[in-house]
Amino acid sequence: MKPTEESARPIENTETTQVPQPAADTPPAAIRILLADSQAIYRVGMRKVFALESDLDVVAQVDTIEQLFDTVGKYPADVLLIEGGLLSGSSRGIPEIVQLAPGLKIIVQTSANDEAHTVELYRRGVRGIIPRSISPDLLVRCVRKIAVGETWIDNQSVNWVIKAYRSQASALTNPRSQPRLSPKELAIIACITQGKRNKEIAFQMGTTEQVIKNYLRKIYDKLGVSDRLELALYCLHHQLDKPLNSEQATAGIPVPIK
Amino acid sequence: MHELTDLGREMQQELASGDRSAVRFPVHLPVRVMADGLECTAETENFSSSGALFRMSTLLPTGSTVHFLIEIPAGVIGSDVTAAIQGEGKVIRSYEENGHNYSAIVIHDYRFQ
Repeated sequence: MKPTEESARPIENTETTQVPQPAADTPPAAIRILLADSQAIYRVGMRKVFALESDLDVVAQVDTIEQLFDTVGKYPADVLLIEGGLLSGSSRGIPEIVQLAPGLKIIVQTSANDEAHTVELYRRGVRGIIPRSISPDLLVRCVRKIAVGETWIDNQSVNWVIKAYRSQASALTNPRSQPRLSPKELAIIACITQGKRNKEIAFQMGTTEQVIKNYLRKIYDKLGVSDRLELALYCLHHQLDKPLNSEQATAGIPVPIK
Repeated sequence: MHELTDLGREMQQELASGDRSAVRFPVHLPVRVMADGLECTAETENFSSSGALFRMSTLLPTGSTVHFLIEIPAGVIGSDVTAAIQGEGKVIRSYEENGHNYSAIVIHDYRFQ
């Protein structure tokens, strides 16, 4: 393999694109690996490591995130091994990959670990984070584990993820962490829980559907909820009617939105 | 390095489900449940946007399709009229604990009324 021309090209191996055969006496299909690394020496090294394993096939390799976006759809793979540096400076990297290839399991190679970055990577759907200095044996083991749907995580990262999970859950259920909602936002919530569509709410309030959508997005962000049902549950749990009743807004009284 | 436990995996799934997770709210509401031709009343023990736990007089068969109607009394969530959530789901677990029957469901679809 020549490192100079490694841009989003497939590895010449016809087995990698074959559909796994269901017959019991045939060997299981190889794990298809996609390599994304800006440094040729790492790509070459990892390919050599994987070449020694009959169940691991590198199907394509890229050296930029843009090439990766083009490649994930063209060359189906089971596991993506990506250098963490390719993701820096852009928050869209992992979500876009997940969107393009929902079944692709992502392993990130990083040279340094920090809490916020680690939690964010796992939050976005990464299955494993490994150091750049990982041994070949461990790398192969990691790829195999993740290919079968497991997660690869070290003890410190487990603690970080658990801490993030607990704080995320408690922030939503803790009444003390209630953000302030404006009367207009409360009126929109009341409409939502009556089953009104955005268009109907817009008509009732004398504004456009887009304005209601913007308000709704802001409400979701403030409360940390993701849909109408979760919004209603949040309001039920926090009894959001109290501030509403103390103000003038109710669903029955349209609140003009400029 | 090691593999995640079930709890860890569940947490990661919740974390990875987006910037927000399906938090279970401990809200207790009366609910009408219909499953396998059976209709009964129940009470929600907890509720999230993806599932709910009902406490009820009878155990629902695991795997059965459930239709439910939850009434939200006027004034509870900023409305002066009664609201309701109608939904459909599937029973994933039923069990008895401390003399009460519980059925956990995943929600496939819902709408406000």
